[in-house]
Amino acid sequence: MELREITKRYPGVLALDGVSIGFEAGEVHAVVGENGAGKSTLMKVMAGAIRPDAGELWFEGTRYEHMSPQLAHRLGIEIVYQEFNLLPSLTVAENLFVGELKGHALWIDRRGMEEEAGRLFETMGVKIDPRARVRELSVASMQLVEIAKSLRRGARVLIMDEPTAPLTLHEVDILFGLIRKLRAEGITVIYISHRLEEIFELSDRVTIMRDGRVVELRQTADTTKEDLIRGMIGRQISELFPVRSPVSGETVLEVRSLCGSGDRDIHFDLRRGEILGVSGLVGAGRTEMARMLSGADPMESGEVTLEGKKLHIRNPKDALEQGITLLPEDRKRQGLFLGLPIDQNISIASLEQFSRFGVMLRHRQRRKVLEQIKVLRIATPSPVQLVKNLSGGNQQKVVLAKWLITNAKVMIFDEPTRGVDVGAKQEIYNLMGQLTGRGISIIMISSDMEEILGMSDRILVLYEGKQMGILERGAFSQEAVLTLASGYQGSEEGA
Amino acid sequence: MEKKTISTTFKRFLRHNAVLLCLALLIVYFSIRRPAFIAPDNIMTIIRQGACTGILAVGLAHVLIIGGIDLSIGAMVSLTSVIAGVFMVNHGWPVWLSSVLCILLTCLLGLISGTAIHLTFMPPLIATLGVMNIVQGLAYLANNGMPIYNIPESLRRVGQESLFGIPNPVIVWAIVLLIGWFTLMKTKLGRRIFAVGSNEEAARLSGINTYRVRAAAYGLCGAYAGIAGIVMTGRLNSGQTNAGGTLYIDALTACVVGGISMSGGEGRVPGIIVGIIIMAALSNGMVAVGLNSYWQLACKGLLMMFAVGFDSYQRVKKTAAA
Repeated sequence: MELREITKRYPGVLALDGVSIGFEAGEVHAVVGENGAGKSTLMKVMAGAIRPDAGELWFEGTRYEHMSPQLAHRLGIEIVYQEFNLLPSLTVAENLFVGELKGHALWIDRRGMEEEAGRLFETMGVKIDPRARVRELSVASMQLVEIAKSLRRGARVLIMDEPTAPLTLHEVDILFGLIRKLRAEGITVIYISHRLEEIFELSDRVTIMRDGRVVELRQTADTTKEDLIRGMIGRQISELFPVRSPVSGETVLEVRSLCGSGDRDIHFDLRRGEILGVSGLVGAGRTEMARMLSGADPMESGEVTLEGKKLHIRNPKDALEQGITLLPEDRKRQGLFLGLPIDQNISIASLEQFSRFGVMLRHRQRRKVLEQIKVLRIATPSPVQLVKNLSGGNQQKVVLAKWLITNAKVMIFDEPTRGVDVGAKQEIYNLMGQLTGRGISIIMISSDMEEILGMSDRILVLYEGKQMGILERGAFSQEAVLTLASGYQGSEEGA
Repeated sequence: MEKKTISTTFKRFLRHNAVLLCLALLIVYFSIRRPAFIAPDNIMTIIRQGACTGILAVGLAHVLIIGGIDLSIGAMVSLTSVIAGVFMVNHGWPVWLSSVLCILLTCLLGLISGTAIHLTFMPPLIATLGVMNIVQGLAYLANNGMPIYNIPESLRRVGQESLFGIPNPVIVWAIVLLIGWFTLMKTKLGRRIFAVGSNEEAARLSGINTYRVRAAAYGLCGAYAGIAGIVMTGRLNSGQTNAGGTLYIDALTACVVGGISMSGGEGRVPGIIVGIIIMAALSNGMVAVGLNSYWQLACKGLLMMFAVGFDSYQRVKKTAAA
């Protein structure tokens, strides 16, 4: 498959500017770039979801002006989007055959579909029950079902957009195994990811995009991480993680025998200015812990003490008033008011600061919002821009700003850099460094191993709702975290 | 390419100013059919006719912005009208006291709707449909279904006379508009109403007591319905069991035509003014061209479907494009 001089213009933005890439049969071809570099637009052009303004596509020697979803299906160009296209109330098998159910005019050959689905999963080397309802599956399994759907339709080119974002390390391994298998069968895999390590682990060649253009096409083997980052952002990133002095402050937050939402007996201390990383597989109870501490969900039992004072947290309002805030994991659903402007998004949790007798004080709010926009480098022409018009990284900064202007003492960050490009990532890390410098303590949940090892002072590891241990900085290693996260009791302190 | 840009610019202009264009078309059409339609007298009549619905629409806006709806406001007008009559005529209580009591009562009814919706997660449409019937039933029960006449002179004047050439109901509406605009745009409560309507879960996680905000929105909506009911009683110079009738359809259509989205989190108060004037002009114009009241009702229903349908369609299209 080959793209030649593809151009796509949106009002005010040149999303793709004469992009030409050739994809070879049986290669894993990574596409990297910052948010807004044009990767997603490019994928949608290939899948026929959008029509380019200029350029042509070649597929196995035939020239096409543009794709359509039907044509792409017929040619075997399949795409697995970040948001899955599955019907949650149907079974796995029904989802695989959706649109072309097996059977006759009157009845459906359920047994036949299930058997075929079972065989397909067997060749893929994954264990999924074809009779299970999709909504009961884990995110990882849903993704595998999406891939199975593409394979069943006879995929020749498989496009994957950030497939590992919701997965745990173990699940990523399964996915990678599958991708290698597909490559061996001659299927072209086009792989988009923000996680650079994955690209080195998996891909044969890598295309770097920036501002709607292809900057470079390289053999992955001859490339270093620095090359990639330089290509993506057009400048050198010296060091991803800020240098922070070790903390020795007094204990701010004490959590004792916290239970609820499947978590059992969680206990830890948090020092002033400390970053406590929380690691574990998806479903290990990390988000649940964060939600209980911040009042989003009720705790069954347990004691939380902040600065020597016992807290009774019944809802997020209580937590906020005491100085505990949560940056939730799903920013669109839990963090942002997409249809409202930036200033209202930022000020909503601190209206007391900006009002007198219930009446808003516009100037005070405006000053504070502009200050945050400047400090966080939120790219926007105006503070009254609607948040839905911002890129993912800038949206995340807006949610951050909302919590920064509250008088938080303990900030809980749940996956603070998910779906955020490298440049914005580094800005968020620096910001966390500054926060701890000001005496704010941070609990950071992350599935990004590099991030958790790079930013944390200590790492708390959970496994199926149980606390497996707390690693001290000296004992940090990927193996140590993984061992605990997969349920092997460690010998470390605190378990 | 050039031609395409012009046509898209034109389309965008149409979309942004659809409401004003509708108003212009209506005026042109009715004026051609009946030149008296644009006489200053008639224009004042149109605005006067719109005033009570306008007051209702301001209250309804709060509820729509929070992502709900309140169908019971028309019935609340009827209830207020009868109860006000009972208080003022049958009991002989002062006008101001009776009015305050009525407004408190409808405010309470709104609070009950809001609470029921919040606690049971009932669809607001159904909850307030139920309340609508309860309230209408109460309106019949309050005086055994009989109208009440001989309303005190001072209230009749509020409904029927003018101050400096501006009808009193219009003055009340203007004050209500101002208060509604201030509440929604300038206060903490207003901010929270928009936030809950835009994303309730994010609002909760931002430390907002969503129950209080929802109850306040429905309570205010009820209170405004009470005010509309008092003004209506003065205008009719009697307590009528069906004073509110189908006013909620007009108020809802006016809100949506005026750009207050049915899906919550979006809307501006000034839009209501244009929406109300369109509705009132339509009613008045339909009378002027001799359509009977059955046809008028059917036309209003059709208009509501167009307005709400257009709003939903725009939204789905926008989401699909993003």
